[in-house]
Amino acid sequence: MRKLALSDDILLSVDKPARYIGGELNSRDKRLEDVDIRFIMCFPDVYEIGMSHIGMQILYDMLNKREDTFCERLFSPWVDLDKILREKNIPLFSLESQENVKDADILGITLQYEMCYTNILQILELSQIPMYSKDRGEEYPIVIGGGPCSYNPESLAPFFDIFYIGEGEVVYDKLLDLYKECKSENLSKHEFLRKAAKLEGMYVPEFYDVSYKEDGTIASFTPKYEDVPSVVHRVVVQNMDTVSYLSKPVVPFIKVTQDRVVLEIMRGCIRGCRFCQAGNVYRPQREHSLDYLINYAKTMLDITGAEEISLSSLSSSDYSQLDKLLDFLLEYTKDRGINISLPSLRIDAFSLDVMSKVQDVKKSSLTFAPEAGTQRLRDVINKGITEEDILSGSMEAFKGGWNKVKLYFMLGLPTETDEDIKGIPLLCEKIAENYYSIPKDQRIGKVSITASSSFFVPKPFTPFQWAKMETEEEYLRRAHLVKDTFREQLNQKSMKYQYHDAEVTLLEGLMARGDRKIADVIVNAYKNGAMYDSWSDQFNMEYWLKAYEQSGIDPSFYTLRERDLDELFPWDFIDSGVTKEFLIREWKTAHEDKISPNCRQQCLGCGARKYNGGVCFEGKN
Amino acid sequence: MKVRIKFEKTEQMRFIGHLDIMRYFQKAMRRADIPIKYSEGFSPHQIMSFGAPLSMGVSGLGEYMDIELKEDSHISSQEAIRRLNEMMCTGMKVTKFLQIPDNSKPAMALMDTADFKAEFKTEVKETDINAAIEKLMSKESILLTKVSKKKKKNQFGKFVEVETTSVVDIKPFIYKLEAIKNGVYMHLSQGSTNNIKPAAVMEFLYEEGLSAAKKNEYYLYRLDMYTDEGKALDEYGCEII
Repeated sequence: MRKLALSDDILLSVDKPARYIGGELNSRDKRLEDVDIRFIMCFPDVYEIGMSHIGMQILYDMLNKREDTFCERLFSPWVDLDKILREKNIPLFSLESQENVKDADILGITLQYEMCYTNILQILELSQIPMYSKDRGEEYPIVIGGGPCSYNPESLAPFFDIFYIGEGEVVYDKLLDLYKECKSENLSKHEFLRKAAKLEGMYVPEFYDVSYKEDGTIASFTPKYEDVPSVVHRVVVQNMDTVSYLSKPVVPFIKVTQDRVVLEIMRGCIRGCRFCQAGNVYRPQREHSLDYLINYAKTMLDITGAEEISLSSLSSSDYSQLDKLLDFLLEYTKDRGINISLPSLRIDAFSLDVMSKVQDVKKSSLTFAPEAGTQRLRDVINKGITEEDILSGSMEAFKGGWNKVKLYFMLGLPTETDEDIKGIPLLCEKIAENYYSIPKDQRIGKVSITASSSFFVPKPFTPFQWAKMETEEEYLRRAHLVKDTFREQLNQKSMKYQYHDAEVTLLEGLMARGDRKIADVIVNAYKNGAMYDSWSDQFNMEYWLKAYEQSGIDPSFYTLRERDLDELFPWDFIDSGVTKEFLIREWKTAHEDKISPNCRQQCLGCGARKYNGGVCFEGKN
Repeated sequence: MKVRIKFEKTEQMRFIGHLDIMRYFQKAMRRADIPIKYSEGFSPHQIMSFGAPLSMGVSGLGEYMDIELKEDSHISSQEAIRRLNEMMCTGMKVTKFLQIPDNSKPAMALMDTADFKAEFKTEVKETDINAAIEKLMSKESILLTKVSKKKKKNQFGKFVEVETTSVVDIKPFIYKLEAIKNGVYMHLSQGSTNNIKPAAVMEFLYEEGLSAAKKNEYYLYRLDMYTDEGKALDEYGCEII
């Protein structure tokens, strides 16, 4: 019988005990005595969220291919179990071996969004591992962070021993080989970290000194030792088809958020939207070949028995072989009772034709992401979609039988005016009027238009990294202006509007561009009770307001301040591929209300060409 | 063709709820390439129905589900069991794959009784177990107070939760209650009316002084399910060759 860390008593008293027992199909089982390295891969949110993440599955599969390594999984215990673990002083355990986390060699934590930062502290504390790297002796695991938020690791710097900057497939093998070597030679943690810091993509925060100017901005950021590099280069997969193939994905017992096979068709994006971090830091756009994807899709569906397959990329319509791939999927899934889900497709005649084949037109809705209400502002953000595209796309859809449309917008984008804000309801009204221009006998009842807006958060390594955010009051004023303008529209009864929380947005903005001083705020907020901040039913701003006071931090320094072009940013020591010169150029072009061509139209010299792969070399063999 | 599948759900799988077990088997059918029939429409689903749900924490040694196979397909019982078991997780095992008559009622509707085994986590003397059973069964009636919550409209037309309690004598529905080695065997009435929970019977034994019968101090197994003819649900099917 498999050993479980929790007693029946506890498992039967918490919600969804399957979150904590492991043993799912394709989960790996190795004896700890048989391996040199016990690696725990942690997603600091609840099981159902973490198990929906394909990156974790890829790394789990890849690391377990090593005979000398046992990679296990770990997620945040939900608040019910969290309470029990604290009360009974039970140390946190990994899912596979059900053994204590604190006894592992390496604890890898994926940083997918800022609002999970307090959960990292929860994981460390429940594991009975000191939060601060400096307080952890030789007996504790090496704590490594990776993923999108590591492009500005500074808010979390004191908690981690290493940040892995770049794509997981590239350097982990080297890092683990090095760890094994150091372990067998009985070298100290410090000696291991000194060697690790020399590997490409590895950032060891304790080896760098930061000094600040009187105004609070960074004066200098320098390595403490000569052999520690002053710039950390992001590591990148050059040819997508050569990376380790996810051979056996773990199939959860309980329904997870994304319960389907995810087909990663490419990485990166050619579009260059100026607000988008992923579109900038995952450059260049690199595609998988059609053959690779066909084999992969077949294997994954056979192995998992999943009833749905979904395409994953930043902009699936840009995949050069999309028509052939979809033809294959339609054919393959037809008699097998498998659904196809198609997110991030541009709405045009081709995509509508495919969608009408895979979903019930009457029930499904179509999604547009204009992001801004006026063409001027869409040009500022380089969205590359025109009002004409949206109106003709939705009209095609209406003629095809759809009558539900969702639209996504952002408020608070740089240079935004009240005219841009009012543009959101006006655009929706035009879509509605278009619908009602169709003769009555050819349309099906009312149109339903749902617009939602989030508030823009400036992110590192984007052309908008210099931008300021607005105050909560100003955000709410803008959201109310949208709402009021909706009420003035002729077809207001066919339109709904909802907006995202402003408090959380400002907090996200603080973490996203924070420096090392922010770590203390996170600790204080956590001690005040903050956890699961991305869950609106758990979030409580009071914990954070108190933490600002306790830490003596003025959040507006990080959120409301527009940066000078020559300011040294906390993340400037990272080479993410795109150069600062390029970002400055784009920031300036944005202020001229001008768009820039995409990678397939014209190379802008962003810097990512040095990775020798992908779209930069398309058709130039 | 209608097929009845018998399976075991033990160990870690005790913590997987009924709906998740259904999803688990839907995927397992695809993995094992069982020629199961799908419903029509945009999101076709497998024709599959389960016997009575098992409470969280309870093992099942004789669990049932009925499926339908595609008209033009053929798969032998032996082959289907082999393929399905190759795709199972620890704690799940398919034991039978039987053809049942086309006019057969679903397993859920057929079940009239089930037998259970409670296994104590600590060692208990058989005489102690017997003593508690005798004490309980010598009573004229065994009165169970049921509390049920229902949503009802109040005088303002709003829905509010109302607790209603009812008292039933469960003694006539305990068909067998015997001591076994370090445990208790029970044969109980099941189904939509007079559904007797084994945990409730254990609770009565606890009240009769059998301290080992305390909640979570024993492992519970559902052994098999029977129709009102007294036959196990797998006695209505035959092997596919």
